[in-house]
Amino acid sequence: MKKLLFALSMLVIASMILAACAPTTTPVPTQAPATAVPATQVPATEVPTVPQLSGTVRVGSWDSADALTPFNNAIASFKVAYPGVTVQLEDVPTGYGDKLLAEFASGTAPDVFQVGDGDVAKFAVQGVFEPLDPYIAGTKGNDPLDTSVFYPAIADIGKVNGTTYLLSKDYSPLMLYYNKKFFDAAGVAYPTANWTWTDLLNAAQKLTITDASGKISQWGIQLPDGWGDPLWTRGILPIIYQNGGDIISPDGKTVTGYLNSDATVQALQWYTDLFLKSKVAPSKADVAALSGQDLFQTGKAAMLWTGVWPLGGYIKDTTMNFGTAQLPMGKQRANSICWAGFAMYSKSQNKDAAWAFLRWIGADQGAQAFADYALTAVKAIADSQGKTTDPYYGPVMADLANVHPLPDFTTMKFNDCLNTPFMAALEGYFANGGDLKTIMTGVATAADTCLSK
Amino acid sequence: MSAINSSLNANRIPFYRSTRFQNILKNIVVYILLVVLSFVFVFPFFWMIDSALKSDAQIFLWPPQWIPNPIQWQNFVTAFTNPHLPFLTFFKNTMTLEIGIIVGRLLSCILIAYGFARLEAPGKNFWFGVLLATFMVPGAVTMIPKYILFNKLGWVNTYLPLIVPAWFGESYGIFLMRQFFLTIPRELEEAAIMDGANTYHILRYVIVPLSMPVIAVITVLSFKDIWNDFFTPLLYLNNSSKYTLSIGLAYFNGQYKVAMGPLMAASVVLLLPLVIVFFIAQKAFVEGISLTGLTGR
Repeated sequence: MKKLLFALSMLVIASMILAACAPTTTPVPTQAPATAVPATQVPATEVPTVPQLSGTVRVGSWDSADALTPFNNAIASFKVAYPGVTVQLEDVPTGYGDKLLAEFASGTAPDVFQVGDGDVAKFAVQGVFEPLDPYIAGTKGNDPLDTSVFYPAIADIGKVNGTTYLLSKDYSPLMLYYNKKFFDAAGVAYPTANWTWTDLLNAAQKLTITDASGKISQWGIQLPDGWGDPLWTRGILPIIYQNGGDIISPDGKTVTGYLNSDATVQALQWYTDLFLKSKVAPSKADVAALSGQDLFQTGKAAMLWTGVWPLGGYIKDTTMNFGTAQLPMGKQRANSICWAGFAMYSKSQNKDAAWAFLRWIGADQGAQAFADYALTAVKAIADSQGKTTDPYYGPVMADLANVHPLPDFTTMKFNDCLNTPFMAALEGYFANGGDLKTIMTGVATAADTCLSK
Repeated sequence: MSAINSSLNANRIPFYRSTRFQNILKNIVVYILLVVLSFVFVFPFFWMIDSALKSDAQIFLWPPQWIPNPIQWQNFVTAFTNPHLPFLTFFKNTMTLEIGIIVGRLLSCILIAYGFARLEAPGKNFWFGVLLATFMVPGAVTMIPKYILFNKLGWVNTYLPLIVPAWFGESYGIFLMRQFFLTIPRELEEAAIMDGANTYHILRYVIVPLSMPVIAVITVLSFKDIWNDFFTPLLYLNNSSKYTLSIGLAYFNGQYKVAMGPLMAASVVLLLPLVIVFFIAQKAFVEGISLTGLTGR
């Protein structure tokens, strides 16, 4: 029976790990008036100046149930602007990737489809993405798209080796949550935008409380996520970037000199010391012992370093008294991101209409529908929602400029050659200790061999 | 003689070697095994029903809360009133597949199996071997070629790729039926022939009425398989208005978020038809399993 429960809880945990890079599906209250429309939208009266679009546009998504609301809203508004085009939503609640693969094989994938950040490099190599730059430049007989409407760092995520393949659907950088009550009780000043690593460590030490039996009853900080996976690369990357390090060369061909650089090793040392040396962060076992409850929400951790996805739930929880801050500074400001985008299928039969819809949901009025549910890449919409000045969302939006491009996009072998061995090595270090520099040099050497194959 | 001996020597045999004790011991072991196994089999059902009546927080409590308190009937409401989840449509779609596939499968399997069991044709055994070999091909291997084929026929996003293949036989059903037909005495057919019956008459009035157990087995197993099949409908159908119940269930089990309570509530309800079908066909089903050698005897 225990095994069954264990298996069940592992399933739940697995689904939560997938949520790692989930576009947050938590509805976010919006202050935007329904009429807020970015300036780029072509007024309906001018539509006749572009060629009349017609036919069907198929749209693929892994979202399901309530998360389909933005799709339905965007499709409804698109229908008003382009009455000649029928948009067919193909929502695949699970097995989306498998279905896409079969459709790629037979050349029948949807004209516009949702892509998670883990699939971008692989799909780009397969040639299933239509390059969007000609459409953005307006050389396909359409109106050009002014890309300055986007947050530059977010728009850049949609590029692979300089070619734009995707428009952003939604995203989440990493951020810091803090429990105001615990900070007040410990007499520690709230985190600010100018917090350094030292400030964070000092605060975490003061906020870690050990009870009479020597057991830790309150952790200073939970990181790099809320579900107790200390190996989650995406959550650790900001620390590496903040120290001026990296894990792979920008061309995706070399790991040695990046993963085992002094800057990266130093950052990993600081990170692992939070668990092993200063013991201010709960380990995987500590989190597991608390059976998967949200440590921050239940008051067992004073700070939480994770994405934006729990924020909507926390705001709704009136028993919580918390604040948010952008990540602390190391040598420089830096952040990473979880991201999902929309691509156009390279074998689409109706590319002009597909582009019109892609643009509608990526940059124009349709993007508003998605912004009601998650963070948007369109500045004007975020501004009109008040996200940039919101006390909770403001710090996140302020950190967008510091988001680094995803290393996952540099090579389709990222997971096999680098990420999986890196996480295994880190796990080994957590379990057995050793010299991080030596360990990372070993991973880097093997990764280089693997990448060159 | 031996009985007299054993009763005479009863006082000399240690109690643990007596037949009576060994029988009791055997029963104890068997019963313990059955109790443990039935617990193993029943527990997931219990857990499903239990979870269907709990909130998410209650489901993940440790130590587990065995009796839900308070009972969350709300999960059932949430599961079946979500406007994005038209369960009635899903049910109709699933039943379309059930009927279309089962009717086709029974008709084709009966004809083909009878041929393999009784009629003579050159290379019959070779072809039967080929048929059995198709068991061994994993579905994943043929998935994409089949998808491309049906796509070329323009059948994607219709029920045709799911239903039409069933009208051309199904190896497992054919195999079961052939084995069953072989156990029917030939004399019955010979008698029918004497009465002037042709092959069709034999099938219609002799074979089929006698084969109800195996027909029940194939019907129940097919019903269950179609009911639970998730990936094939997902692959071939593109509109959520054409989706089946098993895909509907998956909506609770999204790519990134699991609504455990409503998922379990919907699972409980969706399990009921299977249970009903099984109990209706139980007698014939069990008979069919033991007669066709499904039990491995």
